[in-house]
Amino acid sequence: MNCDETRSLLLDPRLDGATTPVLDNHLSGCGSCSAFARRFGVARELMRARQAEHRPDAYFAQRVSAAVPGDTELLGWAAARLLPATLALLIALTAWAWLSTPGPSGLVEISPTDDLLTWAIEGDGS
Amino acid sequence: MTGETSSPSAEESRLITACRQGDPDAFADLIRLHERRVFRLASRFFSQRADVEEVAQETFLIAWTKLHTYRADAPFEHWLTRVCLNCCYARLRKARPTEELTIDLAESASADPDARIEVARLLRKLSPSDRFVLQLLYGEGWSVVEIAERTGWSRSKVKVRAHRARRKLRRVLEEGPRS
Repeated sequence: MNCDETRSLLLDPRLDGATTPVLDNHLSGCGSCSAFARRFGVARELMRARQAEHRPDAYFAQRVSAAVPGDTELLGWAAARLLPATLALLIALTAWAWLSTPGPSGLVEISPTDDLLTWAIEGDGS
Repeated sequence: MTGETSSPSAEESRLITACRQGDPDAFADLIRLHERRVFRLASRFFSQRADVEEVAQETFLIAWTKLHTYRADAPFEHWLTRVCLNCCYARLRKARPTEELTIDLAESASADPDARIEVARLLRKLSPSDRFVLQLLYGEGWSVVEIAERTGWSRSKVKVRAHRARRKLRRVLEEGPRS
């Protein structure tokens, strides 16, 4: 068993701190893995340590139930959740409209204004 | 919070039905049934009372708005555990890396104080997301399957995150105190 295998085995949660003869054998002859195992043991112990457990006060349930959103608030909440998507869609549509609209020179090229003016002033010749 | 596997009691079922019909008094009673468990679970990830209380409040408010998604064939507390864990995870992801999952050095008795301080400092190098997964794996002792069931994540997602978190844990433990 090499150092890589040893450390992988040590970190396997299924092992849960148990040792095997082959693991012990490697750890007894490898200072680096032995230090790693000690640090990992402390880390696991720290993660298992029970922190101070907070408890709800007598009015917690009352406060939360008073804060439940009504139908109107739910609609507002939904609107707020949809706002970013709505804004993004609006920006995308604006950009699309902007990009698909020809510039002034393009408008002149396709503008029927001159023909219309000629037709209005001179008639169609009939 | 997840030790019991019974279906909802008759009283709990009645409260859930009333909550679905918009009864805030029934909701207050439902909160009273589960508030201790939710606080206990949130306390595993947050040391400050204000954080625990905010997570608990968010858990119950989400429960209120999403109650229609609860299927009564599973224990309500399992569903609530899932909501609470996801609230904890979301809050941890917003926190700065050194903030939460504070390690209570006084609570771990066997290792020497210097080693605890050193390892606690190493653990703070991990991201909150990684520490969340490691906490479930090593702190709670849950398997990949249990984490998937209790968070609502897919097993493959849990496996990927657990693998990544373990790899980072290994790296910081290998770097040791010199880093």
